[in-house]
Amino acid sequence: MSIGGVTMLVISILVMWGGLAVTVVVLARHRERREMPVTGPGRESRPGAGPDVRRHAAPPRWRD
Amino acid sequence: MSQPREHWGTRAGFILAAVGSMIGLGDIWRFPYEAYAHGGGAFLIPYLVALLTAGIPLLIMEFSLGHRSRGSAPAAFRSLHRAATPIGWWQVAVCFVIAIYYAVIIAWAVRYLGFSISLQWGGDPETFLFDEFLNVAETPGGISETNTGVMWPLIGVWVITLAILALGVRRGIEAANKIFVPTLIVLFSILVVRALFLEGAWTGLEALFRPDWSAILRADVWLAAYVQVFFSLSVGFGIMITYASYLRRRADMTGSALVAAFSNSAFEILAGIGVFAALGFIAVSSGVPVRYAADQGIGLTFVAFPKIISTLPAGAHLFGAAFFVSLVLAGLTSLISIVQVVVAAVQDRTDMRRVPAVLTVGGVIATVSVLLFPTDQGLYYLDVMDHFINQYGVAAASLASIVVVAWLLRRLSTLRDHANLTSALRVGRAWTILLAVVTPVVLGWLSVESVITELTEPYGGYPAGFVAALGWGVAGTALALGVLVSLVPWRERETAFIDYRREG
Repeated sequence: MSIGGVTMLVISILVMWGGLAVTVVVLARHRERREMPVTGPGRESRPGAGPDVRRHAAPPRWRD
Repeated sequence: MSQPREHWGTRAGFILAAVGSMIGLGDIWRFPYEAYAHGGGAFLIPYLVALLTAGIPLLIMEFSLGHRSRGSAPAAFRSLHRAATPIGWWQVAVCFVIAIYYAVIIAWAVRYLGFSISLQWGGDPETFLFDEFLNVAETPGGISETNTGVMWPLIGVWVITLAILALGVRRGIEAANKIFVPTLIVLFSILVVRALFLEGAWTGLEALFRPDWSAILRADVWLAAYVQVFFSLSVGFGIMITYASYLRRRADMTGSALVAAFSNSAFEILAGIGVFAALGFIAVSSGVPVRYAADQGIGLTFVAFPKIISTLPAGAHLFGAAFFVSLVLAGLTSLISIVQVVVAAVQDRTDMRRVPAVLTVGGVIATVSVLLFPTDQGLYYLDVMDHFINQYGVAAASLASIVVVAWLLRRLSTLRDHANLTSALRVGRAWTILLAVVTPVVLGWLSVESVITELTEPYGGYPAGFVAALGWGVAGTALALGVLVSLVPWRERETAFIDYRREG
């Protein structure tokens, strides 16, 4: 197999499978960070430091 | 009384379902040949650019649209503006058409799974496929014979698909994808490893990956890359809008889009390696260059692969079984998502419960599919309908949706804000520019090119009347149905976007 062929084979695998792996790791870390208890003076420890959209729960508004 | 909206059980379940929808027959039978025919290894560059500049941005837009409206495709577009509703119904009609023929290819794969046990195709898989198995009529037009060899597996495919859909989003679609997608990846990986150890495998890989850098300067190569990305990411069908509508409120749309898109591309690379390693083997075994063995579509899966399986030195039956089971799984996960678009739209529109909706909608699609395709005309119908509904259904509906959302309604910033609200990776102004400029330019170019080609060279050399009826006719009917259904008066209720920040 030519050097060009081998290089592109390796690059293809690295870009696609590597891209997938990096994205999964970044998202997992972000999720961990988001779910870490937030503590501090005057603050209660609570699960989830991100925007708490669950309390805004409302029934679906679209449907005829 | 309106039904409570279903939800995915887990985020992984949603991503697996999206990946299952993306990984379809095209990943196995289309991508490897497209890459080979458009610059080999050099194709990776336009492909990657297309993925990052159009595929993933469009995917994020569809996720955001579905999640925010919490409705099927027509509901999602209606939530932007009432006049945009036809785009959603157009996508539903396109999915209806695709479902009726897509199931047939899965049925063929089921039959070939059986044939692979005894290598029933013999020494001439091409004659076997067209003359013995499909019993294709001499000329297109007028059904004269039903093919029970295709009909029974087709009925089986429909029973399985509708049973999964009837079980619901979590217990049906999610559970099935949690089993099917990992099984498909494991099976195909085994197949790739086996193919890599065949004599001539590296000759095949050399043919696929040797870069022809001059190809990067060719416009048709860039168009091919964008087309491949559009079709393989399941965007423009309403599938991703529908799937995202079942996400819970705290959903990472940009992250999920990246994971799903890269998973699909990673599988395409895997498929390319497996397919061309096997094609290299048959080329070397037959003493011909790889270009004579390289093929795509039906020719690759039902002619070239049976030849490869028959020629294998050992483990032919297992290799054949792994290949055709992979095809069946890849097809089923995509078919489920396509039919779900229609089911969800009907449910949203009529407030019907899931099981009656699946039985009604699925029953109609399955009946049309079983009546038309297991016949001596089935292959002709499939070929023409597939070409026209993709070119003038999926691509045109995508173009319409992006023009309406980005330019006429100017709602991209709203969708961007929504995506950023709960996502780990934020999208910025670049995302808006890519969607508003790059995507419509490429899709517009594709549409113009297709029409010019169609007018100068009638598709497939079929009779003009046949192409007019089943090609232009079906594609046109899908558009007309989209407009007509959206004209039926709706009982008005609030259809505005749900602004998570203002609620509560």
